[in-house]
Amino acid sequence: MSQIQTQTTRHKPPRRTASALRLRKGDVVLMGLILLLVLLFWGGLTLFSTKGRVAVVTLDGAEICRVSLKEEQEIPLTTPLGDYLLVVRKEALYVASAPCPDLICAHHAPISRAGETILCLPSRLAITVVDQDTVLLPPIPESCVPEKQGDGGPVL
Amino acid sequence: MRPPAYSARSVAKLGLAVAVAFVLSYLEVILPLPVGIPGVKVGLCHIVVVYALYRMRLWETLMITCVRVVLAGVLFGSVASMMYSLAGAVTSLAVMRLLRQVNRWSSASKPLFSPVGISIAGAVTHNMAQMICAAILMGTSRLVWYLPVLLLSGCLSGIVIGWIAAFMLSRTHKM
Repeated sequence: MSQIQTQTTRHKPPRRTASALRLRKGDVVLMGLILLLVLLFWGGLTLFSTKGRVAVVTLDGAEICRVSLKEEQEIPLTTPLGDYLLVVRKEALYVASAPCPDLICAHHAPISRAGETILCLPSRLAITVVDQDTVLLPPIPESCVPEKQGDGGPVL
Repeated sequence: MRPPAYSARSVAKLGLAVAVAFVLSYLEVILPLPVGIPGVKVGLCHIVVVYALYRMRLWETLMITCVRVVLAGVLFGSVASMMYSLAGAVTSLAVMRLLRQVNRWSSASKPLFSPVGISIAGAVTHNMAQMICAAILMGTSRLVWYLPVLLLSGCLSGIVIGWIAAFMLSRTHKM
């Protein structure tokens, strides 16, 4: 900034609230532009994304199981943090119960479109819906119930 | 940019600004927004940044931002979150400064952007920069799903922050 900003004298605080809070032309243009972008992206993502058929469940980056979205089912899942319950209804998956303290994953809306993800950061659990055609990993049985092992960790 | 003047006045002013920004960061850590979307917050500490953008020099604003990010990162976050924060903070500061310069070029009585507009631009760039940073570090493009949410939340928090900053600017003297 070029001007020197020093002021030694004290006056009554200036009252310029009304004019300072007035929106300018640029503000309105900016907000409109952002709203347009939101609509474009949101519309584009919804239109061009396909309904996924399978949800891939990964724990700490390692895939532990795949869940078919085509059949209604409830999948209990055991992680080092505790037990999860994943529920598939109407080709969408949601987390019905979770052991994490914040419950962000349990409050997440049901996911059904390819690319949508529910993350549970405390236990590093990620559930991602995939379009099976785009999956490069070798196909494994679509629905699985992880069994408890000695250390309580999930296995395939 | 003028070289930094290490007067007692400037040190006190910067210390005060950093302290306020830091307390606001802390307030946000203990009182998170109950919106259920991870990573979405108002960014109360940016009130100080927007204020400083109008009332202090660029290097002072930059210093307040960096010190605040590093302090908050060390105390409340991890190194990774600090990097995200820094990337977001510095790019948003650059964009806000640019828009402020645009204001200088337009007429003084009728500036193109109010603090609200500048703060919206800052909040949105902050979110975008963090998302790009996360996408690069995690090597995934799935985060594109987050884009509309981040744009919208950035716009809303920018309005709130800009309004508070504009209010404060209208009621205080030059520092």
